[in-house]
Amino acid sequence: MKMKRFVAAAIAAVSCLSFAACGSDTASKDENVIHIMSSGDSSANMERALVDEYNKTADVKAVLDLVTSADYQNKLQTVMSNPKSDSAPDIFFNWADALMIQYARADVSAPLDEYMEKDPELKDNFLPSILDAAKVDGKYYGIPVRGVQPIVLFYNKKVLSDNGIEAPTTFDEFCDACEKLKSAGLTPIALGGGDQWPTLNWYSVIYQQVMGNDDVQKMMDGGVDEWSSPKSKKALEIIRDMVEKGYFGTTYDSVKHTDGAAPALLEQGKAGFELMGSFGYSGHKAAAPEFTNDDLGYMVFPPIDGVKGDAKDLVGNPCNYFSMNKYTKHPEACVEFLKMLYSDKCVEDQLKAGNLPATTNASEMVEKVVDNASDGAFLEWESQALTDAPHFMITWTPNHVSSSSQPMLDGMQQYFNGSIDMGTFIDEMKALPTE
Amino acid sequence: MATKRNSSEMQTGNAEGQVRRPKKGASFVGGARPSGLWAVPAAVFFFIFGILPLFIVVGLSFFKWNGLGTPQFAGGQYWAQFIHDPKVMKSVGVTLTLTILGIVTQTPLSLLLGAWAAGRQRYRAVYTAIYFIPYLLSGTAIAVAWRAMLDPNFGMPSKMRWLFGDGNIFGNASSAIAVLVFVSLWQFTPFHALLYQGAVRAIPKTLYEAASIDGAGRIRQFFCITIPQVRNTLITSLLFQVVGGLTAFDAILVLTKGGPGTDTQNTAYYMYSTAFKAYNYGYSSVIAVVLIVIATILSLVMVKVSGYDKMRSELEGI
Repeated sequence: MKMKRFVAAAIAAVSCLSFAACGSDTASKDENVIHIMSSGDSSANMERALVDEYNKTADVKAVLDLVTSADYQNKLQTVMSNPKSDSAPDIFFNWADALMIQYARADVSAPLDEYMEKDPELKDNFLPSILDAAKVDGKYYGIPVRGVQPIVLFYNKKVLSDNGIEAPTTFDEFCDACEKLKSAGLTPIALGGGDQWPTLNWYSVIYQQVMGNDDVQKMMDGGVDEWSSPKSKKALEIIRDMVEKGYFGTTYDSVKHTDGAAPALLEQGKAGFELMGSFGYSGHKAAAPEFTNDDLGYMVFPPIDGVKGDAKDLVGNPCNYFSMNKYTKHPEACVEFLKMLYSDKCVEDQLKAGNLPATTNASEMVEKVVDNASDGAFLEWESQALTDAPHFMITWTPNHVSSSSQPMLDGMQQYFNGSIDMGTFIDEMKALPTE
Repeated sequence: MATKRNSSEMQTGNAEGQVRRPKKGASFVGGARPSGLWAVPAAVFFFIFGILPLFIVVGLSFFKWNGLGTPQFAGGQYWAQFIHDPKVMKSVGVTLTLTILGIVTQTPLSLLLGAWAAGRQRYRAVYTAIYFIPYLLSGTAIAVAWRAMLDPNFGMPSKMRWLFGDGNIFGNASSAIAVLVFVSLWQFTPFHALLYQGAVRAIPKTLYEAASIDGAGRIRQFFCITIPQVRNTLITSLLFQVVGGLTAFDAILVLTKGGPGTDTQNTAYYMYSTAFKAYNYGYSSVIAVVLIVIATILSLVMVKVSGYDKMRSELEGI
């Protein structure tokens, strides 16, 4: 009988425990700490170091909560649905454009302007073009963290020289290079179309040149007529022409960048070029260090003749941001933490990891702190390209809402591979969700 | 509540103890059935994680919500949108295609394999064990592995041009669907084969003996004895496939992400991408509600039509 009573009690205890577990976060939460929630990918070492450094001197200690990168956005969305709760972070990892706007307008992230006024360094130590991407309705809602990620044209130097090609300086030369690579039996351009966003890279780079930043910006701001403008059509013709000429091969939609297949084409000399965010460099370095040191070339996408845009302009992810919970109990501690982001120590750590932080002191520090010649050369080049760029455009999110991304990517993939024509594509883009 | 539970448990315990002192470790054998209170933890869990969300989803389908802040009442806006959304019809088409192709390919294969594996020779047990391995792997791992194996430049297609052509398998709607069907065939056939194996083993040998005496060959025996005798298992297996087909998700997420374009986007994946990529929880809830209704209706119809609910014995003619 004792046995039976014990079992009943055990079941009752277990069920109580499981319910209590839902609230266990609150029980263990210390009032006098700030929680930093960030995306737990390979770059998160930077945040770990930052928190350690901060805790050496701070009264209000920081706790780092890392969430797997694939789940991060959903988890953040869930905890921030109640920003006053104890499980909501005080500082959270954020993205420019749609998400920045979403959190700002939902009134859960704090405008940082008053803190910048008190301490101008919080503003002046960051590159304005990157910091401005965190502006929503005229106020700053984020401080740049991790590296900037402009889209870069990577190429395999050996493949090019083996086929008697010099690094192209114009779009026409680039097309000639593709023709030569094609006749040599190679895939001229590696493209991970299966992920869809690498295809978007091509649209954003070519549109930026053909249309110019202002018109593309109008398009992103909801100007539907821009999609059917002659310049838009010209850009679409260029894209489709490249596809039809076979510059991307025929299997690009079956290849992914995220599983390493597209970069491997470049690394193994099966393709000549890949258009990719600058994070492509560290990807190559991890997968094929020798290739990266010896044969990896990179350039800003070469200028297209007779078009409006400036070929020095860049497009891509400006970088990530730390935003502050509007309801944090320790805003001063949070600001002190955010100030660490432009400290020499933090910039140095990032540079050593191959990221170019969006701080004004980053470019001078490259030479001082980066030992590896190839890494240093890339970072210096990237920093120069950023300085030279009159404009840095943020990766496309039409109408600045998350809901437009997937339909846009679907349409782009379909126009790219020829399953819908230009008219259908333009109609689909005009009908993208606005909320 | 706690004291009440304890006292009632004690009473049951005492009552049973007075009637018959059970042997250690066999307290329920032949004794009273456990009190209904024992089902409370499971029932509470099922209510909280199964029933309650169902009602919340129905409610949420009338609200505009991106996951932040307070949901705004939107009336029937999303339901109206649903009716005019061409992607819904396309996704339903993809769902039906995948489900039907799944049934058409998996049922015959698993029935044959199950019937074959029902033999008691040792080598069959070994083969069956090996064959069962795919079902033990996680669905995501399987999808990742096949994705890598089917890479056009580094996988099988690069070495087998005669079969795969240029290898643009995930770039065409038909071949992308073929891959999804094939991978789920590879993954789930062992499970259904196991069901059939059990069912076939339960068929009395006397039926086959009688048939042999009457001169029926193996093929005739298969069609006239095995298939009718595993009828209930067949329905069970079909039910699994229909419900599984309607909610198929992981393989699509990893293998095709609904692409190229939206060509392999089934209704479940559309629901996912609406909720977790577009942050449109209201519209996603509409899709979820419709999916639940369709799955329920289909299951009920199948159960009714097949007579599965009456659970008649399969042992006819004995």
